[in-house]
Amino acid sequence: MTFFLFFLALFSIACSVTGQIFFKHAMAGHSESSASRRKLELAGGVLAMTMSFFIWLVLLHRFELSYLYPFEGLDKVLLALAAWLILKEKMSRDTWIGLILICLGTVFVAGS
Amino acid sequence: MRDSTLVQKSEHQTPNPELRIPNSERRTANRVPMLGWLLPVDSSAGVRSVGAVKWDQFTAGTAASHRTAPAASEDKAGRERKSPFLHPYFQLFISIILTAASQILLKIGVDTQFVPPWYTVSNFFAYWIWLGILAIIGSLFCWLYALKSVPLIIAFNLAATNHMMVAVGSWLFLGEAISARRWTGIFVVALGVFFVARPAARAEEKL
Repeated sequence: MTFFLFFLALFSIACSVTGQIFFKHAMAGHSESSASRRKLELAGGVLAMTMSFFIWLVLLHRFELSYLYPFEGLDKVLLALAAWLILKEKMSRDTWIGLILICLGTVFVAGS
Repeated sequence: MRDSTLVQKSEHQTPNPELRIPNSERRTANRVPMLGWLLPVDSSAGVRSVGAVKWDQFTAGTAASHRTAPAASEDKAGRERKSPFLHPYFQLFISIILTAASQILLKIGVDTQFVPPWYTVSNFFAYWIWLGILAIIGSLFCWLYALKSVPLIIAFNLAATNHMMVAVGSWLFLGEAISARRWTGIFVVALGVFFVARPAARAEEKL
């Protein structure tokens, strides 16, 4: 897997994570959020999901599924990093272990 | 089933089980079987009660279930679930199966029916890909339904099995030769996802 394709995979995963968060916000139905804002969030979610889907198809065309799917585990890494950077959450020891394991496993798969 | 018998036994012994069942016993009665195996040690009270409510609604709509979990009647206005297919854990299971299936369907579609420039007309009739999309949508709905009552942490833990399932599926259905190194990698990723489930669930809740 080349560097470019790896970033494509990462981008696809990031898009799907963003899409999920958008969807969640749209569906949560806060009383203060207006209908137009909700529509915008829904549209953003659909857009992000669609983008991630098509990039994923391109990648699937190129790689075996058992090779590509483990990269999906990186979405948890992205979530944890987002929580760390944006929400300033403290990373527990277990989180670090998990993140390192995921990255290690991805490296293993990438090298196979 | 073990849970309901336990409850009924205590019901025989005491005239008013609502008051007499000791707290510890009530807790074991409430617990979903095997749940402790999935949860980390410090399972919060919320997790336990949510599991209990759904399990009670699932097993029987008897008065005993209301007594074991007083929250059940408050939660969903005492609505009893008839179909076991609507049990949230079953829906979660369906969702995980569908997620794995969607990947395999997409892979089959992309391999057999996809023609490189994406706007090729025949691509819009690639039924394997459409099936994959349907599976994704179905899994999303099942997931959202399950998340109404299953705590995010358990759902995320169970989702870690996805990696193993997709690997086994692509080995069985797609005939991919998976090297020992790749198996190791997949297993390590799944383990890592399992570890990260708790903070990832928390992040998902807050973001």
